[in-house]
Amino acid sequence: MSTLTKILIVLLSFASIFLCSTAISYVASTRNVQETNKELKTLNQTIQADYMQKKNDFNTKSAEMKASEQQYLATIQELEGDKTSNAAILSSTMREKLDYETKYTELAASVSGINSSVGNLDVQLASTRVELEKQRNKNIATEKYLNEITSQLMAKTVELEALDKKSRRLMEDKVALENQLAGKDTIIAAKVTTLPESSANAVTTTPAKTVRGLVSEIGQTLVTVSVGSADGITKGTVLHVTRGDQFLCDIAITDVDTNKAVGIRQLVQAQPKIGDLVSTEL
Amino acid sequence: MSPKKKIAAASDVFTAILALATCVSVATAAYVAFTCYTYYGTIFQIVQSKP
Repeated sequence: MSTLTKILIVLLSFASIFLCSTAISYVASTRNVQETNKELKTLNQTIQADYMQKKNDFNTKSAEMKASEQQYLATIQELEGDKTSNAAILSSTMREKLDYETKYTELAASVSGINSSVGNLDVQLASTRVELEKQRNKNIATEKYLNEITSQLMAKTVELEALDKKSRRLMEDKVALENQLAGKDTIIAAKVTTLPESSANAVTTTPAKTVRGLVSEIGQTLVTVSVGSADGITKGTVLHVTRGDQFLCDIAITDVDTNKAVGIRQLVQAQPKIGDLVSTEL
Repeated sequence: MSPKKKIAAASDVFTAILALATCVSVATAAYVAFTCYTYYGTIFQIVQSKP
């Protein structure tokens, strides 16, 4: 065997082995086309089914969207109508607001005027009260002065009545003396001895015993008591009005009845009331 | 007529190399044929895609 033959055998052998290994590796690396085709078909069918389902869903959703759109359009129209009515109400409300604001402004002005008037009336009331207090003080002073004058007048009246009685008795005595001068000396002596007693009784207007009674009626100036001539009360008798231990005033009797008497208040310390105690002695 | 002469290999080494190469080629052909038959169901026909 020649060398060339040997070389050819070796090269051919290695070349065949190399080509066989290349063919095996290529075939081993190929995929199964049929299974891949089946998988792709299955995937295609699945995708088609999904597509149809999605399409149906899309159609359903589109129908729902159209229905919702119709409802929304109807709602929008209703809301537009409500908006229009609300705008009208708002405009009327704004007008009413303006009217109320105007009325409020007028009322505020009126209230401020009334407040100022009330303030002026308060000032006038305060000044009137001050003047009234002054007049009351004047009235009290005048009443006191009147009471004093009245008491003095009553005293003078009592004295005048006593003097009148004394004068009448003196005149009677004078007549009696003139008669006695005509021959009755014993009667003259008796008259002379009785004269001082009668005059003393006329001046002394207080009863011999203590008389107690109650105030039964009170007038503007006169006071009525529950004791009268039956108890020894006469004109000019001064009764003391007390309430408990408090001295209220004196009552100078000006008119006497059997069971009651009327007099004028004197030395008024406090106004008497019905039921207060009157007495000839304190 | 010349008498029959017994043919003898010139070298066993080269004979073994040729035998190995032949076996490899046959095994490769068998593997490729098996694979084609397994994948496509045929050995020599060109497979067409079904609609």
